[in-house]
Amino acid sequence: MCPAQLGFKSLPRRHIPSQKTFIGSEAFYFVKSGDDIAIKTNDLTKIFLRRNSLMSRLKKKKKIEVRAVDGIDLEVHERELFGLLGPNGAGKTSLIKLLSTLLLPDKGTASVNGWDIEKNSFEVRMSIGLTLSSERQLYWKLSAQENLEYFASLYLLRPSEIRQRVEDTLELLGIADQRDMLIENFSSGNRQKVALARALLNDPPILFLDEPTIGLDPSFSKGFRKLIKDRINKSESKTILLTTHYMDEADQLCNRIAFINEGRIVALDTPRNLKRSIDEKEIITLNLTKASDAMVSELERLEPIHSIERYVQDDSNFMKIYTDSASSCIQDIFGILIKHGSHATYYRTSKPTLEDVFIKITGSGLDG
Amino acid sequence: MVSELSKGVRLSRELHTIRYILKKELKLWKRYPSRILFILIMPFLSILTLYFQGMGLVGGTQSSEFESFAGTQDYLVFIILGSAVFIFVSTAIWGVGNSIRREQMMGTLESIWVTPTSKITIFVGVALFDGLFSSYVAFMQLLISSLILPVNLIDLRLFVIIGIAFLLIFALYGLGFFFTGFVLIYKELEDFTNMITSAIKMVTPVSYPLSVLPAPVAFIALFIPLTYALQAIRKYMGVGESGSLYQYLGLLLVFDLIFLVVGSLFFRYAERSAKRRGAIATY
Ligand SMILES: Nc1ncnc2c1ncn2[C@@H]1O[C@H](COP(=O)(O)OP(=O)(O)OP(=O)(O)O)[C@@H](O)[C@H]1O
Ligand SMILES: [Mg+2]
Repeated sequence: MCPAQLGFKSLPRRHIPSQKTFIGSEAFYFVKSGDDIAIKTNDLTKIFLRRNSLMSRLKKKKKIEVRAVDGIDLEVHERELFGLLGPNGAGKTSLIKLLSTLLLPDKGTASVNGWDIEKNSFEVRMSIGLTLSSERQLYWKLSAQENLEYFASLYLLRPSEIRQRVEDTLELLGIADQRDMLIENFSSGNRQKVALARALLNDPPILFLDEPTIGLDPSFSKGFRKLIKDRINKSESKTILLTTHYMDEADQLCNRIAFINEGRIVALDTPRNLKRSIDEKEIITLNLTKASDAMVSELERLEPIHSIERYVQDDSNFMKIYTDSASSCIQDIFGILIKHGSHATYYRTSKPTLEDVFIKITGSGLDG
Repeated sequence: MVSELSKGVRLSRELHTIRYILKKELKLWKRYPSRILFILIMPFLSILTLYFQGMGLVGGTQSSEFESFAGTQDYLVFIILGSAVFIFVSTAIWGVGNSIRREQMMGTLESIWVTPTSKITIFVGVALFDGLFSSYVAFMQLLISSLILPVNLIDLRLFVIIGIAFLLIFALYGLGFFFTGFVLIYKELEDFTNMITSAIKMVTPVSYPLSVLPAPVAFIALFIPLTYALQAIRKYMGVGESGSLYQYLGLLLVFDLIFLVVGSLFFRYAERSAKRRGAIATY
């Protein structure tokens, strides 16, 4: 009897020999190179030509190249929960679509579960589950169960197992009581759960989750994250690559995080090490009415201040001041602001967060 | 590398997938009640239109005037057969492309595209559903005509008609693949659909024999397999057409092959192109 017939709950904690990987509900093994790398990319690059309006095409304006994914080298280990953190347009979705064979790269290579994304796209698809950030990825006019049964057949599950498998995934995600409800009547949170159930149908070793908690309310997100971490990543031993632009999410969930900005990885480490990379102990965040270069250089000359980052968010001037001790320099800072005719409409002192690290590296915030 | 999902197992699974596709299409269909009303009423409307047209133009279902250029007096039978076959034409050519377009608009296309099932299986599933649907509409047209009009089309000859229509369908699916590729590249379909469908209807002998068309237009018809299917069916039913039945069928087969090959090649090109440009989901 193969494991899927036993159902999820009774599944023993799977022991996967490092040379073999379990794919789908089949005993579908293959020998890998012997390492424990689930996802590997090599100089992976995707360039889009931005479609121009008809007018600019008539005027023969040059097409604009967008390097959505720009020479990414990445290794994700088996059973790792890996986060791609970056602002809108950073290239997170494009990277996931490349890895799930929905896009072809312009340069570079990648392998997923040991299979090449271009040459072995069938095997890659057998090895992965994918959820997209769109709410429209399911049929709204079908029930959860009807959706899942249809997709289970597309994942080439053994027909005799489809019903049981759908039941098990619904149970696992705690939405079995809504199995007959049409997707259009689901809450956005539970819709995302059905999408996750779909991604689990073929019991793939690797999951790609694109912005799994986008648009969900904080308390639902919290439970959903716990589910992803405890049930899917830990108990079910899935390798998970997820994208997010919520730094808390990445911080709480991920074993390792890659900061991605303009198609490139700008930092990659555990959340803890990333935060440690900021030596300064405190950060003062200010929202200023005005910020001149002269004012900034005067601030930088203050003894306890290590560095200053300026960025614009929601059309306001923000400034982050990295320092060992906020209390020892705050008086002087306000003095300089007043001298330059500026004042702070918002002021906060905090410990470094992932977002601070991101801002320090890229010079811009996560919200674009 | 060894995989235990052998080619044979994969094929048998994909055959089951087709069953699930039919099931899903049927369910989606049922959740939109206006569609049901549409398919119940449509066959009546189209048949009665043809009938009244005949009454108005030739004063009945027969016409000796018509015989002089069509080779048959049976005006009404001639165009009912044309109309029934034409139903297959529009669904077979546009069915798959429309369904891809629909999934694109609903937002489900990428979710399907990322599964291991081959595109061919998905197309066959959708096409089969459309084919069954067209057969129903065509059959209803013939049935309704035989019940309420002074013609009789429901007898054993029906099987031969279906056989010929079946041959036609391969060529149409070739065209269908072509237009499905077209959808992936250009998105636009609705206006284009109507234009091409009307153009095909104009140049082929659906509602009138080829002999009424100016020579250059009739020449175009020679490259459209629908022409030969219509001629073969009418020849068999003894309503017009002077050539040989086997010649018509032979030409139909040749065009089946050409259309299928060209259509699939173009689709493969279009899919790669869409994946390069990231155009599978966008609309
Ligand atoms: N199909 C496409 N055609 C043209 N440009 C595209 C296409 N898809 C994405 N892009 C561009 O590529 C860049 C990266 O987009 P991508 O969707 O991968 O970013 P993201 O990190 O997922 O952002 P978001 O947080 O908005 O989801 C953007 O500049 C986007 O406009
Ligand atoms: Mg995205």
